[in-house]
Amino acid sequence: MTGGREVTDLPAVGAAPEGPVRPSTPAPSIDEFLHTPARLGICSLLAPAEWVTFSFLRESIGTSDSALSKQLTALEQAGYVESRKDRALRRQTSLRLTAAGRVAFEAYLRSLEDLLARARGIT
Amino acid sequence: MDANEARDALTLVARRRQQTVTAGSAAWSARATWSTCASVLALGVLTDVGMIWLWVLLMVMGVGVAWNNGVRLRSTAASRRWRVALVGSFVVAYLAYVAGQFPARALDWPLPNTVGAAAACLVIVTLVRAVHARLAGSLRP
Repeated sequence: MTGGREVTDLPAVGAAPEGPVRPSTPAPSIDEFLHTPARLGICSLLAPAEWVTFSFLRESIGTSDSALSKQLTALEQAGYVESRKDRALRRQTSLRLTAAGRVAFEAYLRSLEDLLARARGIT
Repeated sequence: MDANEARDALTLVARRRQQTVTAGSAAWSARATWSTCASVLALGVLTDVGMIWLWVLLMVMGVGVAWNNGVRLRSTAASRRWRVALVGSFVVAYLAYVAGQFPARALDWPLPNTVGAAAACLVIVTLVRAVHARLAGSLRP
């Protein structure tokens, strides 16, 4: 993957409230590239949809055009998002998660859930 | 990252997902219904007064933009069936447009297309909007 994406190992979650963490379970790794509120918000909005317009993203997140463009460019360069110009009468940009983006986002969510499970001492 | 941060991130994801699903599965708003009926009525009136070019111009200027809610959710098996039903309901609206003209022409009223368009609007408000609401509901994952 390109675009400065980083994957780091999480420190083991200590002081599990309901039991010790099994030492054989590896600590989940987290996609640091996705782990920013802006990019996470964008991917979460795109995930259930086929296509989403730029204006919907901007209004949902409550950010400026330029700030959103910057995040989308980074996501496009990483291969997570693709955009298209609609051929409608009022030209607008639509975006969607690529297959790679969907896989990375699902993996990111799994790692968060793993982390929570470890904290609860489930795994 | 600790567990609280992970929980916060998952909460954010769930909230954002819900925003998209809610927007993508919304039924026609009053604005969308009004814009549809207005364009159908405009079609009738402008046909009667021989200015159909103006209707084309209005459409090109984007009267129907109110329909676009910014989200297209992925199709489901149920939504594909409702999409066919939606097309069928528009066909019924067209038939109402044609049928509505018969009495107007028989009575020699001056604006038969406008009467037909009013009948089509009735079908849009009652049938088409209801079918679209079912279609939108069927898109929810």
